[in-house]
Parts: sequence; structure tokens; C-alpha cells
Amino acid sequence: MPKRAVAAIVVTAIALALLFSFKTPADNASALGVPAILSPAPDASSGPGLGDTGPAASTAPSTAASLAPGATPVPTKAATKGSGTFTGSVVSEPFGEVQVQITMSAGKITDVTALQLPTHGRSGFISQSVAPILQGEALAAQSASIDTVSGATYTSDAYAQSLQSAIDQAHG
Amino acid sequence: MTGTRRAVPLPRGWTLRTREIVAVLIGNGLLIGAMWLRHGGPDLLDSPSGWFIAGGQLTALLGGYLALIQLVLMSRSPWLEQVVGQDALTAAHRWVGFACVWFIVGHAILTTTGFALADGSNVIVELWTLLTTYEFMLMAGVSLVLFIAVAVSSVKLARRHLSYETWHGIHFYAYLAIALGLGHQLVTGTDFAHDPIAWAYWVALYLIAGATILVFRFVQPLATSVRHQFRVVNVEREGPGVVSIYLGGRDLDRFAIRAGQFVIVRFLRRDGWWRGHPFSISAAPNGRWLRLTVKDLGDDTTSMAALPIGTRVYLEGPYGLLTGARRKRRRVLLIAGGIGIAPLRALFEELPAGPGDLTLLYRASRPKDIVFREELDHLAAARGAIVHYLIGARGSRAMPADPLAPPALRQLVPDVREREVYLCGPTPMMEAVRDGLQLLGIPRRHIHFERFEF
Repeated sequence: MPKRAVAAIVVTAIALALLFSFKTPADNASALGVPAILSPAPDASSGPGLGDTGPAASTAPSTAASLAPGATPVPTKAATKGSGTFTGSVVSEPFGEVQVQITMSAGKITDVTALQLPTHGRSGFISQSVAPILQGEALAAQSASIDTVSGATYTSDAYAQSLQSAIDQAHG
Repeated sequence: MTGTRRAVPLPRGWTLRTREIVAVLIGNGLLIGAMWLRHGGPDLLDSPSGWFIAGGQLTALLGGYLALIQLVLMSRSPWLEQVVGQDALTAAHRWVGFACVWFIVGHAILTTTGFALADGSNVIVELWTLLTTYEFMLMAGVSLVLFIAVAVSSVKLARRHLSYETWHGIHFYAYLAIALGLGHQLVTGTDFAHDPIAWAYWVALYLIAGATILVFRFVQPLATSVRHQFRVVNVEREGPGVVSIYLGGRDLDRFAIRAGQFVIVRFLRRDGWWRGHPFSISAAPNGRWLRLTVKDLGDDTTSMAALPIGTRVYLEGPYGLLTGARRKRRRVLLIAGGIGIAPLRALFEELPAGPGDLTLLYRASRPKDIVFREELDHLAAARGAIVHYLIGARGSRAMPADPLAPPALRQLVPDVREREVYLCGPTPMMEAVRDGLQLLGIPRRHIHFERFEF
């Protein structure tokens, strides 16, 4: 074969090997079995949580210990059972993290806010637009059994998971 | 009619119609469009970034689909070639290819811009984030660069500066580009990542296109070559720079090929095995050997004359539609220019014809460029056919006017308008003669020709 063709094939093979060895951050995390990019979670909660009220610091470790890997609960306030503000775990979905916070009053969910949603590109675009829908569903259902918004399956599922963990804490 | 029995079987004929193939292609296109609607594509159109993202999705779907169509067009599938024709396929490949790359480039630009707008970041930062954090996106980026390279190397200006081998070599990267693009479509593509049915459909399209290429481009030629064990059994010089290569093999009486067709051969020797040569058979298939007649065009065709007897041959084909299968009239006119005589020489022998039904016009610049003279005269005498040798450089004293211009044609062949015409020669000559024949009132469907260049 012509030398140039041989050279082209060798260079292509090396380039392909390099290309296939490239891992995105998400790949790395999932390959290691470590929840993807959880660092924002402690920051987000411990800041206001610690400075705010005492109980947060005491409840956090115990709840964290009981949780399955991949979900880190970060309650901001452990108030009396059935009322107060509860922060759900950070759930990663393919395009980012989802974390919700609920406000409960006398066992009733009065507000749901998304603390974290994927912000990147198309996915962020979709998540931001479905958040109000999911919030409405959660308030109506008063539980984490909410319908998946079509076209935003990952975000819906992650939202429900985070919501469930917040509710679990509320029911402590 | 001579009534001779064919020595070898006819290649399988396909009864597909062009409109059936077009219907399948359009049907799938519509299905893909419907998929986008079902996944809420139009919902994106409520914001500026959404318009970009929606555009990015549509161009992605179309570009991906066209890339798969390219695979099928290039599979040298007999069912496609027989129905559509080599010329139309080549033209379609060029158009679909450029359209495909434009769509893919559009997709990359629109999607990146749309994401950047949605995120409020700038395009360069967004591009970097996409490439480095999204799964398979770096591969998609490489795929994009390869697609662009293939397209750029194919524009006319670039082709003039590139050797055939370089251009062809770059073209192989299109396969790699298609493969590298698949990952990001399935994992991050809005239409596939969340919908198992759409996902399965898209993968099925890839599998079908891939299987078409694999079967018709590789498996079938390999099976043919293994079964018939083609070898060079003789090499003869026919004239200045023209060589005939005789191929022998096993069970050649079972190798379905007909006069007017060509095969792509690779001579399995240390030098040159990688190069495929499209060569026409220049004698009617007889079940014992195939004769390929070629012009020494430089490169390694120059060494054809020195091809060792016994060289193994890997053969793809037969291909080509310049055959008796398309004949709809009793009387036939064959018009050859230069080495274009090769397939017409085979037709001159094979086409069933009564006395006076068959006429061959053979154009050459110099008397010594005429090959097969003895054979042609012998066949003409035996079959009651006519051969006219039209020799002389154009505009020279011997040949002051174009002997293939409409008036000259009518003088040479008074009943030219009632004939089925087969043309083979240099492209400019074929185009000129085709136009002249149409001026004479011969419908396009009775004029058959195939370009030699690939």
C-alpha cells in the first residue's frame, strides 16, 4: 500500500483510541460509582443551615448516614414534625442536578421550590420550563407521585426523587 | 435473431420502480418529521433560543437521515443501480452529500447558539462545555470536522488539485464520521434519549443502511470472488496503450453477467491490490473466460501489460445498465469513442440482431487507435451488421466536420430515428452525441450511455 495511506490509517487509529479514551465528567463519576458532582449540595445547605439554626447541624449527619449513595439529604431546618422547610436530596440526572425544597405547614405541603435544576443548554431550557408544571403537580398531589412531563422525563424523575426525600424528612 | 443460447445466466433483474424507492425515502422522512412533532418540537418556538434549538433539532434529524441515504446510495446495490441507473445515483450522491453536510453544519451552529442563548453564555464557552461535558459530544465534534473535510475535498475546485486516490481516501472518513455521530444522537438527542420507540426506529435505520453497505459492498463481492476464484489467464496488447486482460476461474458458466456491463477488479499482488479498477468486459460472456479491455491511463494501469499470469483477482460486480435489457427496438445503433469500444464490442457480439439490424460507429483520432478491427469486421460479416470506422482528429483534413453531428449521423445511418442507441466514450463526446440524437427526435428513453469516470 502507498506509504501515505498506511500513515493515514495509523494516525486515524491513534486518534480514535484517544477519542474513545476521553471521558466526560459524568462518565468519570458514574464509572466510579460516586454521585456526580455533589459538591454544591453541602455548600448550599451548610452555609445558611449552620448560621441559621442549631438543629440543622445535629440532624444532618444522622440522616445522611441512613441514605443510599447518590442522594444526600440536606435539611435546612428540622422543625416539629409536619411543618417547616425541608430540603430534598440532590439527584443527578444526565444533564445536571435537581434539588427541591418544600415548605410544610401542619403536615401539608404549602410550597415547593427548585433549588437546583439543570442549567445547561437544551436540557436547562426544558427543565426551567417544566419546573412550574412539576411544582403545580406536587402541590396538587401532596406527595411525590407526580406525572412525568413528556419531553422532560429525566428532570421529572429526578424532581420526584428529591421531593420524596424532602417529604421523608418532614415525616422524619 | 441469431438464436444462440446464452452461455451464462442473466443477472437477476429487479422489478422495483423508482417511485417505490422514492416513496420509502419520503415516507421515512415524514416519519422522522412526525417524531419531532410528537416530541414537542413546535413547543420550543416560544422563545428566540427555542427557535435556534428547534432548527438545530430539525437540521440534525435531516442531516442524519441524509447521511444514511448516502450509505444506501453508495452500496452499489443492484436493485438500486438497475432501477435508478449509475448516472442518476452518482448525481444523487453528490447532491445528497452536500445537502447532508450543510444540514449537519447548520445543526452544530444552531444548537450551540440556541443553548448559548438559553444559558446566557457566549457561543464559544457553550461549544466548549458541550464538547467536554456532554457524553459522545467530542466524537460528534470530530464527526462534524470529518464531514466537512469530505465535502470540502469534493468541491470542484479542490478536486482539480487532489489526486483521485487522495480524494477517495478522504471519502472513506465519511463512514467514520457517520459512526462517530451516532452516540450523541442516541444519548443527548431530544428525540431519542427519552423515547424507546424513536430510539429503536433510529437504530433500525442505521442497521438497515449499514447492512446494505456490508452485504452489497463487501459480503457479496467476497462470496463471488471466493466462489469463482478469478485469475488472470492471459494478457494481450490490443494497440498503443490498450491491453486486454483475460480472467479465468471456477464455474464461470454460473457467473451471471451480460455484455455492456463492467466489473471492479483488484489484482491481488503486493503492489496495487488496494486499488479497484472499473473495467468493462469487451467480449460476450462465454462461460469460460471474461475479457476486460482497458486503456493505460497512467498510474498502475501502465503496468497492466506486465500483469503476471495467474494473479488472483478480487472482483466486484457486475454493474452497469448499458445492456440489452434496456433495448425496446429491433434495430440498434452503437456509437463508440476511443476505448469506449470495449463494452460496445461485447454488445456487438451479444445483442440478438438480424441482418441490417445492428450498426456500429467507431470514432478514433488515429488509425492505430482502432482496436478489435479484425474481430469487428469478422462479427459484422458473420452477423450481417455494419461497422463504420470514423478516423481522424477533429478539424483535421481527414475529418473536417464532426462525423457524429446530427446531419452526418443521418447520412451514415438513414434510419437512425428508429433505432435504440448505445453510447460509450469520453463524457463530452457522449453529451454532444446525446444532444444531437435528441435533436434528431430520438426520445431520451431510447438513448443509453454510462459515464466511465467515478
